Amino acid sequence: MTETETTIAAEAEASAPPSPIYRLTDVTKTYQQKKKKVVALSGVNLSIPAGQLVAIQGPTGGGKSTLLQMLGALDRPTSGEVTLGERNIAALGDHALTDIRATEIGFVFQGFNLIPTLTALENVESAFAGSLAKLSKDEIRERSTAALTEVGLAERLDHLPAELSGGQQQRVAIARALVKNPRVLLADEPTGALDEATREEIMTLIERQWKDRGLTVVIVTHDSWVAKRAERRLHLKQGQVREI
Amino acid sequence: MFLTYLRRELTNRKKQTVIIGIGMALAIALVVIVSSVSSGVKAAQATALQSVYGVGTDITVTKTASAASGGSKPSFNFGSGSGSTPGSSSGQTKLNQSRLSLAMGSQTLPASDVTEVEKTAGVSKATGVLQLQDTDFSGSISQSQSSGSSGSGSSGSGGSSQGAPEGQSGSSSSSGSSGGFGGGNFSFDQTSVEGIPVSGDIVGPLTSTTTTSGRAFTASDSGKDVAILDQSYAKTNSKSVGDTIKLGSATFKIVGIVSSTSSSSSTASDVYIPLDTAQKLSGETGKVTAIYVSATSSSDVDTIKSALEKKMSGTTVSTEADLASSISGSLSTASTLISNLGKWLSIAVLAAAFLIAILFTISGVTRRTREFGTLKAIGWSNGRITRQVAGESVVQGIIGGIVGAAAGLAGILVVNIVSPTISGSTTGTGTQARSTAVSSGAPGGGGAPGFGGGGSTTSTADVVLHAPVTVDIILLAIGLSIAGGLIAGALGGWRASRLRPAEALRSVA
Ligand SMILES: Nc1ncnc2c1ncn2[C@@H]1O[C@H](COP(=O)(O)OP(=O)(O)OP(=O)(O)O)[C@@H](O)[C@H]1O
Ligand SMILES: [Mg+2]
Repeated sequence: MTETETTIAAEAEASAPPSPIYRLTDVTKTYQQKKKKVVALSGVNLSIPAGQLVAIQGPTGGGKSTLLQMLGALDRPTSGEVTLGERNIAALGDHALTDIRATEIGFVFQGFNLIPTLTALENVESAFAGSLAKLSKDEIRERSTAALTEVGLAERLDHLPAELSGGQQQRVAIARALVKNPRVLLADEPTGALDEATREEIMTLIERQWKDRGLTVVIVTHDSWVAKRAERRLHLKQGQVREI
Repeated sequence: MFLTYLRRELTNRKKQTVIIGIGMALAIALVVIVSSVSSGVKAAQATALQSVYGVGTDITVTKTASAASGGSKPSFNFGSGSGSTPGSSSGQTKLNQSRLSLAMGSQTLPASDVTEVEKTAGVSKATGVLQLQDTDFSGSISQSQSSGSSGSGSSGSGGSSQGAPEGQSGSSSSSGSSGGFGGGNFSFDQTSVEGIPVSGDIVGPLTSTTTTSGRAFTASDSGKDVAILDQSYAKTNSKSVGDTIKLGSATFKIVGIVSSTSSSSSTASDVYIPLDTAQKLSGETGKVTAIYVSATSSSDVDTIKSALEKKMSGTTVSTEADLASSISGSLSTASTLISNLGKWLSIAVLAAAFLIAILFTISGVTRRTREFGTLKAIGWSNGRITRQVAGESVVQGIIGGIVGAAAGLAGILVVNIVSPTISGSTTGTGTQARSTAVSSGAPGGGGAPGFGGGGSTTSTADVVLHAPVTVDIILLAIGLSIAGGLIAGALGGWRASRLRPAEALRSVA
């Protein structure tokens, strides 16, 4: 995509009413910890328009990761509705959730979470799951190589995670998240384990992908510097959301 | 992806692969060796049975021993009969006695019983045989007057003897031993002789033998003094076809030599002679000591057995299974060892190996919680993760199985190179009286005590253990290792599939 095309797309979107990709209605999530009931999310109402870059901040235990699990179809809310596009995640079965994760959502984690025994290229190839696993071997390889090239790791295809720096590992993770062309990129503290220079590198990479692909991006972060680069900032405390 | 991931996991987590593999290999090797050796022992047992009872013999019928009598009592009348006394000046009596009589512990059945047995429903063939024993005693006795004191002083190497002239006792074996008493010495030999029908012998002692030289009996041998020798007996006594052999008072022409089809064991008796000749020489006209029975169908054996027991009171009816259970000696020990210890050891080691595989797989899955959580988070289905885990376990199991099968085969090879000889004997009180190896008894002086040892007899067959390698054993090994891998993999996979995808978001350990 060229820059002019992106601008045109952005203008077209701005003219139409922004259609929300996520709509959360009265979302509550409680965990049963021994005999104690832990409320991780309590009555969250939230709408995220497609293509928005959102940062979520808040104290530890505030419910940030729990919210990201709801958005990422990793879990269902105890009550309330989480709508992704037209589908209510809260009402879907396990298979449907798995399929949504396989095709519509890219995940990036604080600890990179690469498979330690697989090379960079194989880690990216592992992202072809669900209906995407049916693609031909050649296409999977081609797209994975391209994704790694895009994050600047064309020279590191055959390296194991242990042979890569933290920043490089997170780049592989980003390539793995984006190689399937998801609608949403969810990142839980993607820079939490990185030094400042690398943190900037990774944020720049995420921002570029967001712009280039028209992705919806939700980043959970403790880091205000990271949060400031988002279009919208949310504060999550004791399971309740507040706009900053 | 499946294979790549599988290969990478196995090669990059070598420790787990090696431990599960070794556990599995040990178990499989043990199973392979135990099942091979036990089938070898079974075959050896069958061979021992065959060489003692003859191939195709399903049932044997013998007279039930009564405790009091041990058959006829052979007696030697020193000095009065064939023994010569060459002059009183020398003070010695040379003795040479040979007797052909019923084998110790054997009792006779009328030959008409054979027909009776043959008429029984389900019996395809019955053969009566007469088991005899040729006892050869030769030696000289000093006629010294100081009989009471001289005897106690000397004793022979092969046995003990007492100086009392009217009641010597000594033990002897078939190889012959001599003991001195008084001023004399004697030697004592026993040869097992079996009278068999000269034709139609499709069941009985010679069915599991091959004629190595000479010929088998034909109908025209009936009533003649002709003999067929067991090969090892012939070798020991340097006899060959055309030679003669003295049994009792008669001289037999050797017409054939037979050897057991199982390479190492000897045949049931030392010498075989025509049945009617045997009956005539032993004075047991119209008598047999055992009836070999073959059934039309092996499934009928038990029915026939009970029919015969009902019909012929006073007889002992033994099936091959009964006989197998009466096998003792190292063969029986080996059989018991293999079937009990070997089996339980295999099961225990196999269970341990399965347990190791299961525990390591599950702990492996636990260690990889974040990995599997991540895969779920990026869209892997539970099924795909379960398959991946199960695939790893199955391959680990198969690697162990192949290594174990190879080790087991090496073990079998060692067994076959060593070729341990195990001997099986059947011991019975008069029931199965075929004394081919060792018997004990005391020759009585003056004809009175007879064979004091009584009816306990032993039949021995030495069999070289050969542990066979069959496709079944290999399939069993591979099957078990796959099963082990599958069980471990199923449990590990089940465990992995129960992990929540949210585990991926757990902070770095
Ligand atoms: N699986 C679980 N079982 C029980 N309680 C849980 C579970 N996951 C989260 N919680 C609880 O829910 C609350 C919110 O947790 P969450 O992980 O969403 O916080 P967070 O904002 O991501 O915190 P942090 O910044 O430390 O990552 C916490 O009190 C936590 O203890
Ligand atoms: Mg968190």
